[in-house]
Formats: sequence, structure tokens, C-alpha cells
Amino acid sequence: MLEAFYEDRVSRRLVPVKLTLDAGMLRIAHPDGRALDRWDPRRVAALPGEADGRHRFALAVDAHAALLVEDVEGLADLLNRAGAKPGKAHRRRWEVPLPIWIGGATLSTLLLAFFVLPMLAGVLAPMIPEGLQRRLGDQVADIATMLLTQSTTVRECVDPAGMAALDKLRAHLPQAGVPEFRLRVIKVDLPNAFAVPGHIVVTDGILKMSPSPEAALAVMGHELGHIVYGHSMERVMRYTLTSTLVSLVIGDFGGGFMAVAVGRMVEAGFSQDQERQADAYAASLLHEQGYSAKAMSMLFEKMRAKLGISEGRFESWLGSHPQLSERIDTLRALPEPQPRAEQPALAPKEWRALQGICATLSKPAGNAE
Amino acid sequence: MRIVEMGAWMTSAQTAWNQQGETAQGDGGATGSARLVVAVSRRSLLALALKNLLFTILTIGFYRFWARTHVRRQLWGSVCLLGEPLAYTGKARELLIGFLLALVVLLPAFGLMGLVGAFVPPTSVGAQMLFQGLVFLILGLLGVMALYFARRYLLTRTVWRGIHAGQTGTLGRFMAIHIGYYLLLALTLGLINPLVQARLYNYRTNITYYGTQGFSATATSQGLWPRWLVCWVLALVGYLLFLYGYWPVVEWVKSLPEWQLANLPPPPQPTPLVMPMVLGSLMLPLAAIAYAFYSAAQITRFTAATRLGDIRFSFPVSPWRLLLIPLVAILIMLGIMIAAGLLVGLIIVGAAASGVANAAPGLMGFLITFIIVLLALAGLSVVNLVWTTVAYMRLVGRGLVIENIQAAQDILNRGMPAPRRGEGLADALGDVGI
Repeated sequence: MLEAFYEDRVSRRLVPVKLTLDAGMLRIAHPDGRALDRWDPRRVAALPGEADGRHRFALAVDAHAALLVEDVEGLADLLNRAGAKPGKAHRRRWEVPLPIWIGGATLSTLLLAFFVLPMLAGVLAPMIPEGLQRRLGDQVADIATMLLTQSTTVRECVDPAGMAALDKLRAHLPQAGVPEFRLRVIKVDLPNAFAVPGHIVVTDGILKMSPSPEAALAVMGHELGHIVYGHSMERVMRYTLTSTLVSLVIGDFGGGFMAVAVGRMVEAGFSQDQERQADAYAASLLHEQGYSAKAMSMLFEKMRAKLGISEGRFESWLGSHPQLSERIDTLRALPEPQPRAEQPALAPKEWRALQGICATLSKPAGNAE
Repeated sequence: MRIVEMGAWMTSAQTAWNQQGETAQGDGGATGSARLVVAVSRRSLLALALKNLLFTILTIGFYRFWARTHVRRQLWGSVCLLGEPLAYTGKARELLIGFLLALVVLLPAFGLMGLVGAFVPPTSVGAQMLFQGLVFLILGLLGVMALYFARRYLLTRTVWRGIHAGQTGTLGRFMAIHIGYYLLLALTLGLINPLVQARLYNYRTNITYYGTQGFSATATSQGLWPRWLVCWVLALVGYLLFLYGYWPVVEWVKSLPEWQLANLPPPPQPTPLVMPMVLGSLMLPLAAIAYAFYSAAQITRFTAATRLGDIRFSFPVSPWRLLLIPLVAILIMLGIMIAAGLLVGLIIVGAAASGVANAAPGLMGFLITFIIVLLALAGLSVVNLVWTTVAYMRLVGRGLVIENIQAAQDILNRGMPAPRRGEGLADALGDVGI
């Protein structure tokens, strides 16, 4: 047993106490035996000296209570018996300044959003089994279609003559060695097309803008390229990861709503390298069929001309396709195919039918959730 | 340094209290019993909430740690006992740092959930339910964890007469007890709620301390069962009726994949049965009334079973008051939602009429709708603070009687150091109240 004073560090009130050991803990009690506090002896250490020169012991430098002990050796002895080694004195802590925390947090968030997560998506995407990829694609395709058509149902263009032409054009795309996919046209004026696992969706706007059936074929080939190289899976993963990050960082304020909006801004679509890869894939496809890659560059030029008018529409197909001029130059530089195809990809009548495929729309499927 | 700051802060809180003190009637300690005096000004709280909202928007959310700290300071400082205000000594930086550290745990967990969720087909009811159940379980685990840290943080930052409150007990035991009882509750479909509430209340109270004095509680479920059973039966019958009425639609949704596989158009969506659904919905307000009666009894009994050394508590509360507070909150929120809806509608109609919608599809309208929805959501949280929180605080002030308060004079600060970081996890998961 040891006599000491218990000091409330806030009010500076002093109370005489008796210190004993109880089940390995330091028991602090009033002189009449009523318990006051119990301390872990292993964490008891001296506090930095104060003006009055008295010895103080506490559990931490910023604890709200301390023990004032005259018999320092007696306390050391008591603590020793509890199995505690004589500890070093508590030191005042240096707190990391707030700007450093904020700076570090900002830096690591940016690193995550722009380097780590995209890299992670690139590594993880090929590991997803094809069946799962297709399922995911099914959902994303429907949601993207609804967004583009600004409607709550999925309706596609099914005019019979146009469908026949679409099938014929599709026959020019590779039939084996590529993942299975559904090819659809939707009625949207903006020239646009997108690919997700198992789906290629093309707007009739881009068909109407295409100068030739080969240009339309090139658009489909380009999207197929994204699927073949697994770009779309990577993109979906990157999007999911980034929006999770954003929604966590900016907090629950506004729910997931804000997260989607900011996520869209962070997510910049396919990378330039991915676009070049898909372009090259489409161009070699055209070549195999005996068509010139110029069909594609002509479409791009037309779009570039149109873009001058409708600049700023971020929904545009070109929005996520950087450096259009560079891509046009690359395509123009490609050699012409040696045995040129004798027939165009579609006869003029078929081509007109394809461009008018949205004369008939499919009935909306039930409002399945 | 820290103590000096705190002292200075408490003095200023004291001054603030004295300035608005005339609205409140503080009890002396003559009879040994005392009441909390709640002198919170809705107007200044509203001004603070609006200022916080503005800065939070401007900083895309980062100001929320400072916002929360300012609100807590004002709330704590408006509660007085024996003429001395409570003080909140938490700092925004503690919340920020705790939140950043919690992110390290949460980001991988949520990222994984997001990815797995993306692969669950919405048409497969079974897989959806399994996934939802799993997410619910994980969120529940994280929620209990967050509750532990949040309680510990808020208690250690709560000071009265310079003495800090706090929480002992380990995270592991806290989680094991809560999750064990919650699982039991889920398995019995909520039937044994009074028992679970009493046990958890006792556990949580027994790990709570004010300075060197620990709280203790010996609450039991006795006398609560009749009220709880009425509430439970009403809710169950209402739910079953509702489900029965909606069942044709569930069957139809389940059959959708088969039609899709067969490449046939699905049959039209069946209409739910109206009568059972209306009856089921009518059970809801009845169950709410029954629940208010149960809650009132629980609060009164649990409070009476609580001690702080020789200090005792009593809190008689009227069930109708318990019902009135959320009811008014719901009405105000409905008003806000309707106003926001009307505004969005007007903008869409206006855009269509002026032909702008065709020229620049969506973007402008989307942005305006986005902002209005955002403001409406923020409005809800302001209502939550300025109406609901204040109303509950005043209810406590009116009802809670603290007996033998003079025993508080013997209490000193405890030697256990307070955690340095904030309750990050709770903040990252969403608000835990205040």
C-alpha cells in the first residue's frame, strides 16, 4: 500500500488516496476504502516536470487525472510487483499539422482516382469470367440505352428491311474467335455507338451520318475492337471503383447522387491508347474484306466538320474520342487493300433500308426491374 | 495547453448561457433533485445550419467535419445542469483524421461490394435477395463498430463542470454482445425486442462513466411485453396483408427470365390486390401509435433503473409527445419534397414551352434538377436538426429529473486517456444522429 494524491488535471482538485494492487491492476481508493479509479500498471509513467517540482504519474500525457507521489521508489516497487517494467516518462506529442493531413489526403485521393484504381481495373478485368461479363453487359447496355434515348423503356429499331441489311453487314464482321455479341440500332439523333460485354449498340444518327456502308461497318468494327480487347470490362470496373471512392470521400451529403455526377466527370471514357487499338482493329477488319480504311476516316472528317457546330455536347460519340485529327491522319496513312472488294458492303437499296431501320420500333418489354 | 483552451471555451459558453438565461428556469440543488435546462435557440441553430450547408457545398463536402463540430458545440452548450452548461470539446481535425483512417478500411470493402453488386442480375430474385442480405450483414457489422467508436468519441468529448464522460469496454465485446442479440432478434422476427433492448441498455450503460463514477443499469423487460406484443402483432399483420396483396407482382417478376429465355414477350404486369394492401397500409399508423406507447414505457422504466453512484434518474414521458415530434418532422419534410417536386416540374414544363429542351437536350435541365434535389435533401437534414433534435432535447429537459445530484461533487476526472481520433467510421458510413 502506498499513499498518494489523486489530481484532477482539469480542476486541479487534490484528493488523498491509497494505492494497492488488485488482480494485476493499480487500485486507487479513498482513505476509507471506496474505489476511485483503476489503472493499467503497464501504462503508468511519469509526466513532464511542472513548476511545483512534484512528481506526477499518469496513463498518458493528456490524461485528465494524475497521481502525485512523494515516494517515487515505492511506486516503482508497486508497479514492478504488478509485472510492469519501469516505463519511460510520457512525452509531449507532436501533432501533425492539419495542412499536412489535408494535403496528404488530397494527394492520395488523386493518386487513387487517376492511377491506382485504373491500374487495378486493368489487372482485375481479365480475371472476370466471361459469363459474368455478359451478365454485367446485359444490364449496362439497357441502362445506357435508356439514358441515350431519354426514356424509361428499352426500344430498339426493328424495321424488317433494315434488319435484313443489318444482318448482312454483320456478316462482314468476324464470326469466330470473338466473344458473342448482340448488335442493335437505337433511335437517337446524335451520332453515337457503344460497346459493353455482349452488346454493341449503334444510334441511327451515326448510320445516317456515315457516307458509306463501309463506314458503318467500321464503326461496328471499332466497337467490336473494344470488346475483343476487353476495354469495356475495364471501363465498367474503373467506373465502379471510382464512384465508390468519390461517394466515400465527399460523404453522405446528397447521397449517391453527387457521386454519380462527379464519377462521370472523373471517368473519361476509353483511354487514347484504347481508341487507337480499336481503330486499328476496325481498319484491319475493313482490309480483310477488301475495303479501304478511308471509309472510316471520311466519317471522322464529317464528324469533325459537324463537331464545329455542336461543340460542347459531352454525350457526343466524339466526346470520349480524343485527338480526332490524329486518328484521321493515321487512318489515311494506311495502305489500300490489294485485291479490292468488287461489291460494296451493302447494295444502295439495302444501305438506305439500314439508314431507315428506325421506321419501326420494338414494343417496350415489361417494366422489369 | 489543451486544458487552458478548454477552460477558455467553457467560460465563453458560460457567458453565452448567462445572456440567454432569462428564458430558462433552473432548479437549485436545495432538494437534491435537478433538471436539465435546455435553452436552445432554433433561430441561431437554423442560421448555423444554413451557413454550414453553404460551406459544405462550396467545399464539395469537406467542410462537414467543421460543420458537425460547430453544431455539436452549440447543442451541448445550450444544455445546463445546476446553472453550468455541458461542453463539447471535440475538434473538427479529429473527425477529419478519423475519417481518413476509416477510408482505408471502407474503400476496399465498398469497392468490392460495388463490383459484386454490378454482377448480380436484377432479374434473379434469389441472387438479389442473397446479395442484399449479405450487404445488410456487412453494413450491420460496420454499423455496430461505428456505434462503439461514435459513443466513445462523443462521451469523451462531453464535459460538465470540467469532468469528462467516457466509455470503457473493448470493441470485441461490444460487437459480440450487440451482434449476438441482434441476430437473436432477427431470428425471432423481433418478438423478443423488450428483452434485447433491456440487455443492451444495461450493457451500454454499465460501460459508460462520468469521471471516476461509472453508470449502472439494472433494466428488465418486465411490464413491457403487453405493449410490445400489440405493436408486434399489428406490424406483422400489416406486413403480411401488404405482401399478400403484392404477391401477384412478385410472381410475375420471378417469371420474367423464363419468358426471356423462351424468347416470348412477357404477359402484362398484373395489378396488385387493392383491398389487402389498403388494409395493410392502415395497420402502419396503428403500429406506430402502439410503438410510441411501448417506447414511452421503455424510456421511463429504463431510466428509473439507471444509477450514477448515488445519483438516480426518472423520466416520465408521454407517448403522444413521442409520436408528435416525428409526425411534425414528416409533415415538414413532405412539404419540402412537394415544393421541390413542383419546382422541378415547372422547370421542365417551362423548358419544353420555350423549346430550349429540343435545342440542348438534358444538360441544363439535368443540372437544375440536380441542384434542386440536392437542396431538398439538404433541407431534410436541416429539418432533422432544427426541428427534431431540438424537440427531443426539450422533451428531455421537461421530463428528466436527476435526484441526489449533490453526489456529483465527489466525482473527479478519470485517469483513462481519451482517444485522440474522431469516430471516423461512423462519419464515413453516414450520420449517427447528431
